[in-house]
Amino acid sequence: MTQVGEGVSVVTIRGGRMAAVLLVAMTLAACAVPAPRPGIPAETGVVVAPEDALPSPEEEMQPAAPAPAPPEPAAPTAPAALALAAQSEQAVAAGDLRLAGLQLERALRIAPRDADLWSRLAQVRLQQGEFQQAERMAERSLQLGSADRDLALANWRIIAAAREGMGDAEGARRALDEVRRLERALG
Amino acid sequence: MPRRRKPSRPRSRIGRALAAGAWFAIGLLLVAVGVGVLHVQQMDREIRERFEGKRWALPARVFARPLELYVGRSLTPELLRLELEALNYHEGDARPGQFRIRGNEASLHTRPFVFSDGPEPARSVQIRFSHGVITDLRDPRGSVDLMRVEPMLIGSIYPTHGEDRVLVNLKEVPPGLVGALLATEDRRFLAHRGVDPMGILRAAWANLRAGRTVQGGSTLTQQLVKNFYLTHEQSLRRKINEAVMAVLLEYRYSKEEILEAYLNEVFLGQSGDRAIHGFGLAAEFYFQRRLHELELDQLALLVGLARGASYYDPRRFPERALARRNGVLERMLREGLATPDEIETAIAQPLGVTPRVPRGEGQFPAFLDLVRRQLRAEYHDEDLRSEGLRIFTTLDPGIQLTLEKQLTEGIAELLQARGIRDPLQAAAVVTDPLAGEVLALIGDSNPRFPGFNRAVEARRPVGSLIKPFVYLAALSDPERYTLATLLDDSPLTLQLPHGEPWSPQNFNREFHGQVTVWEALVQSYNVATVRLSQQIGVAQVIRLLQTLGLERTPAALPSLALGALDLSPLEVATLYQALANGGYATRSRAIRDVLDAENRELSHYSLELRGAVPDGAVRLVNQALHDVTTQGTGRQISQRMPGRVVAGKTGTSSDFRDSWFAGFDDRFLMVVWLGLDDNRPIGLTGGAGAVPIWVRSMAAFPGGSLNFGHHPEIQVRQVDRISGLRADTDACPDRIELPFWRDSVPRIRADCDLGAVGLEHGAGNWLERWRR
Repeated sequence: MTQVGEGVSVVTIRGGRMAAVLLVAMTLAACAVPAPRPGIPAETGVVVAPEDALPSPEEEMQPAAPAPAPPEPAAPTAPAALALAAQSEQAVAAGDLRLAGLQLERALRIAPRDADLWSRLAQVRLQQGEFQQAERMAERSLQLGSADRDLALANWRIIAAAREGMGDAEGARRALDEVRRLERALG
Repeated sequence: MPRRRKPSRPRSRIGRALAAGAWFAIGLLLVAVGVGVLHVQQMDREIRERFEGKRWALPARVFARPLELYVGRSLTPELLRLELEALNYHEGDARPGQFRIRGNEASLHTRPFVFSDGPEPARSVQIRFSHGVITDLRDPRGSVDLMRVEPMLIGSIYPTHGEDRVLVNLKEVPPGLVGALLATEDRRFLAHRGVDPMGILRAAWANLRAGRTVQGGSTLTQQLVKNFYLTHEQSLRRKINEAVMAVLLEYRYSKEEILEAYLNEVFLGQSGDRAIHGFGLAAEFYFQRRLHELELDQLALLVGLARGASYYDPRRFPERALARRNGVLERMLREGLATPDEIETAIAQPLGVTPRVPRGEGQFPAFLDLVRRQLRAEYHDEDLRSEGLRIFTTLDPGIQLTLEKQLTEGIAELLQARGIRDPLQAAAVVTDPLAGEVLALIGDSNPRFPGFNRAVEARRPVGSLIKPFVYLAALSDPERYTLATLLDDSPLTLQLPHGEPWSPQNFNREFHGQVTVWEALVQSYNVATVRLSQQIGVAQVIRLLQTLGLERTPAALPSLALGALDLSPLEVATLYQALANGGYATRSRAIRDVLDAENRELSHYSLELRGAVPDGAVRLVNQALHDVTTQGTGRQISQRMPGRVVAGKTGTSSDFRDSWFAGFDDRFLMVVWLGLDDNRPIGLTGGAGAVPIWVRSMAAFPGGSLNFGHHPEIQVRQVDRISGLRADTDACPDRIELPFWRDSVPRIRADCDLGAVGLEHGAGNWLERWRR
């Protein structure tokens, strides 16, 4: 019967995807198997890799004169988005990364410029082994929440792990430098 | 012996003949029984296949995005009404599917629905609005953080034979329906075994007395068999087959199973190629309600249709349908299925059928076309038509309906004001650039017309829409280019690789000498832009476009910098999304999830950040694009939307063949294209044609303003507009405020500014101004 066949094939696809995610997750755990880093063409001089777009923490800590205007207070996140973030935490705790991802995507549709939500989704993507998305989302979070150092620390840790997962040892080392710098600054 | 012989002779003759005949008859009987058994077995197999296999080919259902409600959401009572009416919600405050809006307050009773991340229960909530925002949301138990309304069904992908149905479960069917059905069609349903000889006799007697067919003798089971094998052949052979299959069906399956199958199978209406099967869909088709929400009179009408949905079609033959319905109600009274009061009330009701076939289905042809295109990449057509998939899309019905209204009115206004007689065509895309979701799509100047989808299929020269990307490529290198860098807008002739020399012209056929990058982009100067693209290399611009989502490699010709590149409105939207999204490219998704009939996830198209460009450089470009809307080619925007900070760019192809505008605010990005299908000039610039439609649409969406606030790597400084040099004092008469990225503020001060230092309060200051 077609339906059953269809169901089976679909399950297989999902099973395959799950297997791939698990595999990647294990790779992450082992931090050993290098993977090619897809994405932005490297040879462009003008279109720079996203990390170059990020404020370097040095600048944040020692603002160049003249001092930039004080950061505008971030708009309070809608309670709805906070509720979803809390639900996603529960889903992560229960090991349901798929559901956590769905809830954070929904939260981001409500508060698309919320740096904390981007960082949470980056963390979920990292756990799912989607390293490139994890890296970009953590960078987006840094871009949006440049004043929050705790958040910046969490993001640089995600970036380091994601680059490690993609086999970008050099990039991971640079990210770890930022992690240490922030750790020192935060005491 | 002779006695023995005597009879033996005839016996041997007749007897032999008899014996042969008997054997023959037995043989024949055996064969007949054999064939009969085989035939019955065959029928049995068919029945079982039909019943136990995939019983029905279920169309894929395509849903809009659900309306999310939470405190702080931008929503007006008007937009809420628009959305709810599109969902066929009715005024009322008692049942799911009802709402009431009074001023800045609304009450709403939603229906339950299952989404990819779990079920959403039915809720009854009170909503309060203030200044276009939800300020309070609560149900009887207290405040509600977040909820969503069931999504609007925007289309179905039907099986090839056109059968459509919404499956119902026997448990959820109102008892009144079953009662009415049995009373009318098969009173002895629970007692008979598939065929009802008493019923046949009674029907025959009634028909004989009446002299015509007034009653059918077939049981529900027989009718189900008839519906399963839709042949309209009236023959004894078919009748016998039908009876045998009915008996087999009853032998194999329970009454409940048979009844449920009947409720889902019976033919109850027709709309074009689409055949309405089952009571679940019929309830929506005639009343735009769920089956369990129907009243007694409405149930009786549907039951009445089972006997002849075309003959009693309530939209075409309302009187006939009314008489039929009341007949069913009277039968219910006789059978004691309802009280005389209930029946009296029901009979007094009008038919209550919505005059038109429900909208929604095929209401948004361009968007549905985009959904099909994106589905086709992953799903077989046959699965879409038969597996009952549920497809959750990104369409925002409120935005789509608003866009349709504004576009239609805007075009009518334009045709009248400009005396245009040509068949002006249009396409428009609205996206959520932060999520990379397509919210609304129009592919024809008549948004309901399901033809050529220009928003996706029509690739037209984009003209100056390309320029922001030329400038973004340059400004990504802040050591070489800032908004204050001077460009040369004097006559230029380039030698093309294989042909004539090319001398780009400005729109006004004038040259402007030395101009700042800012001025060249805001005023859309062609010659300066071509020079800039030559300096950075056209290949660099192409690489940038590809990083931002262009999926082709156009030839690296100098004219690319002026938009000699054919793009569809959707492709333009994808490129501009990166500008509206801090430099991160996103896909333009039309689909969020695909679930199977059991609500298992088959596909999830997740939020994805693609290639990125530095957001500092994007910020510079966006400043210029904002200034386009206040003092450049789109300056009418700031006049028509005072107080809103938006950004965008006009585009006009050569000889005024294409009129474009692409722009965004903090939540919405919209691209408009106007032109003629045969590519003749239409005589509209981007500013004259596309801008008025863009601005009236964006003004009607619940968007806000772009935030050009603090950025750790951006410094804002005043410069002299002419020279692009620092001008800190107001001694310079013509100053502009520009953002600079990564310590790229000009170090040299303008003459006027320097002159002002010594003559701060003297006459020289005035002299200086005069000279400038």
